[in-house]
This record gives sequence, C-alpha cells and structure tokens, in this order.
Amino acid sequence: MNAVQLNEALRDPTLQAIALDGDHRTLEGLDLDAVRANPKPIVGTGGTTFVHMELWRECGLVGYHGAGEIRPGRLQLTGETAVPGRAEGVLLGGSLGPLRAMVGAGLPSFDGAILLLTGERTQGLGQVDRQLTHLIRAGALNGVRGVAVGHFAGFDGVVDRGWSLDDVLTDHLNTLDVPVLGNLPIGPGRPPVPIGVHAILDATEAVLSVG
Amino acid sequence: MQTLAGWGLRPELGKHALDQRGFMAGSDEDRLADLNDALRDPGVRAIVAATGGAGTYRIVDGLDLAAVRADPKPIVGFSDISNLHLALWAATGLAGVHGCVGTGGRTDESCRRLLFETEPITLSAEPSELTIPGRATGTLVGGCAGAVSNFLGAGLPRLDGAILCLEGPQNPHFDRMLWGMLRAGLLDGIRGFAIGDLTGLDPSVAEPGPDQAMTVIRERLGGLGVPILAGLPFGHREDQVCLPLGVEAKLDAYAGSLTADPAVC
Repeated sequence: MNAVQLNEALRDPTLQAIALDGDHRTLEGLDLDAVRANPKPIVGTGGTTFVHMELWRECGLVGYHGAGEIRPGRLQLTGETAVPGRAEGVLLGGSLGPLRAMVGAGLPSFDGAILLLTGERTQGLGQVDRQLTHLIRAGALNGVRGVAVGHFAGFDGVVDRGWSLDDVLTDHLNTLDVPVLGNLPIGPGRPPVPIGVHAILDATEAVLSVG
Repeated sequence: MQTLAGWGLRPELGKHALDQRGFMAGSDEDRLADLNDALRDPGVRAIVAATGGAGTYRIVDGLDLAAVRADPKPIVGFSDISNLHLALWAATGLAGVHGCVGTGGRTDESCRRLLFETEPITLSAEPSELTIPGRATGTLVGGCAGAVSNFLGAGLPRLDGAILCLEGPQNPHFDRMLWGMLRAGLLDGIRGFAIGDLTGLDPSVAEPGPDQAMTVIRERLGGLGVPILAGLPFGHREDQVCLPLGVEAKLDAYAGSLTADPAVC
C-alpha cells in the first residue's frame, strides 16, 4: 500500500482498521485531517513504525504493532527479566530501524514512555549497534522509563565474533538505568499490541500490561 | 606500517589496536583512550586507522576536543572512521583524509600527497549517468553515507555552504537515509554533491534490497538545483583515491573534476 492508497483507506468511512506494510515513503502527503476526523487503527510492523510514530506525534493516533486481529481489552504479556524493576508510562516505539531513521526527522519524544523495541534483520549486528547508539547519542531515549523488547526477526543463531543480538541489546539497554523486559511476544508475526496507550512494565515479575 | 615507515615516518601502534570485543577492536574505553592519547601527543602528527573502525560511532562523544583545537592533526580512514571525521569537523572544523594506507598504488600515493604536499589535489570522475552538470565551491564534508545519517539530530548542523561527499557499500536503506537527511534539514544550503563508489556489497547485508543507490540519489537529490558529480574514485573499492575532508574544494561537474586543498593541518 502506497501513500495514495493509504489516504484512500483513511478516508473510507466503511473501513474499521487498516493492515499496512508501510515505510518512510508512506508519510509523504498523509491526510492528517482524515485521521483526525475518523481515527482508525493501523496494524503493522517494520516500516509501519514510521506511520505509527508520525500519526502519534501529529494526531495522537493509537497504532497497533503486530500482525493479525486486534485483541480487545487489557493485554498481559509475559517476557523474560533482563533488568528488574517496575515502570509505568505510555507504550511507544516499534521497529528499531525506522525509529532510528526518524531521529532528527520527526521522531516523537519518548520522555515518560515505556519504549517498545522490535526488529527485522536487514544487516548484521553492527547495524543494531549503530541504530541504538544513534538513538542514545541523539538523546531520543532521554526520559524513557522502561524498555519492552519484543521479537527481532532473522537474528536466530546470528553470532558475530562471539556476540549475539542479546549481547548488543544488553550492551546498550543496560546503560539506560531503567527496567528492561526481554523476549516479549510482540513484533513481526506476533499479534498486535497498541502503541500510544498506558502500560505497566514489571520487569521483576516479567509481565507487561498494556491498556 | 611499512608504507608509513617508507615515507620517513615513525609509526606507533595504539596500545589497544589489536584488542577484540565482539565485532569491535576492544572496549569503548580502551579505543577512546588510544585515540585521545594520540590526539594529545605532540609527537603524533597524523592518526591512521588500521581497519574500517567498527564501533567508532560509539566513542565520538568522548573525544578530547580541546586537544584537537590546540593541536589539529589529520585522521586517515574511511567506512566507520567517517564518524570521527564528521564529529571532529562539526565540533572543531578538523580536516581529515577519507581513505587508507598500505594497499599500494594510487591509494597510497594520493594519501601521501594529501599529508605531505601543499598543492591542491584533483580527483577525476568516471562518466556517470548520475552526474548533474554545474559548478560549486564549498567545504568537503561526509564520507560513508551511513555515518552521515548517524549524526542526524546528533551533532551535525545543516550543511550550509558544504559539498556533501557520499559513498558506501550497497545498503538496503539508502533511500531512507537520504529521506532523513532532507527531512532533518541537513541539506538546506548545500552547494553540491560528490558521489564516490556505491557498488560494493556490505558482507553483513542479508539482501541488498530494492533501493538502488544510484536511483534514489537521482530521485532525492537530483531536483535540489545543485550539481552532482558522481563516479568519483573514492570509497569502498580496491584502488580508491584518498579524498581530503574539511577543506575547501571546487566541484566542476562539466569537467568531471573535484579539486581540493590538501589535508595538512
């Protein structure tokens, strides 16, 4: 779906939700008035994070990170404790590559937020390292209260000179001095989770409550 | 190091140059300490990167800028070393050399000229469909395209009055990087573009992806009303020509030449 098709879907009063495989090009000419007049959930991962972050910043639209049907009510998701602790805030974020690509170019503030990170492998571990370094150096993660790490597709078994994805994530996220909950069932191929709603991250008990 | 010694220099290896931590050459602290030691040592007149510098982006905020301002010296390197060039140019205006030493041929000769001679150096472009005619003067900034994007919102001001140099192995996100540069306002006031090698393949790329760098450069940068000189011989190629950075240059996209001051500080 390109930007023109997305705008048609946003304006179509008969549509209740949109499943989108978006990217940065999808943002060109987005019909923000249509979003404000008739907000509807947009479901997707990967490049759709561009659209989720843009429409959250511009319109406060709640997006859905994942694939498949939206589940009603409060979600309770179990992960694995990485850094213990408990935090509350609005769940924001999504796919790491697009988040990094929006630094300095429209990424909303994550001050007071629970940061969701998922990913897709298009390059090696060095790319994840560059992306996290950029977000942190730019101050984009200042004020983040906790980190919810979901699924990074394509990194199973990837080891580069002794380092795995977990080593790269730990190396950065443990410096943030906030609770980190890993291995959550969120991301590519996982059921949708709302982005832009209140969440409680209990990394000690290894539970993320959303909604 | 033999090449450097052959130029009459006395090369010294950084204390931690042969360390390893994951895919990086040692811890951030140790690599930064080596670099700052060299920046502060009055006996060191240039810093030459041994390899591509994986992880360099992690240490750019710890560089001893006071030492660089007090005693500027060029850094030779490319790929992730572009992060050092960009950080130090943005903070102090430091000149540097995009390239490497030790592979022989015109690469070594161009590096030697940039470090030892005061005459301007001219890079001649191979014919490229991407070239957009025109002439521009400005400061040469940039290097590896991915490194430039590392600085969006993170320390690189708008490149008013600059000629942006871009090269890099095939990257599935080339269009996304250019989009970010434009959206962030980085290219406001840019005078021209000097495009190096875009044909290499990053060994870590799972698949090159649909973004052909040539196509997206034309689409994103071709309409900005400034010249583009593509086909320049700097970048990730075996016989790369070293390019000075942070110096004034004349780009002539009619003649296919980029003439720049050397990088002697």
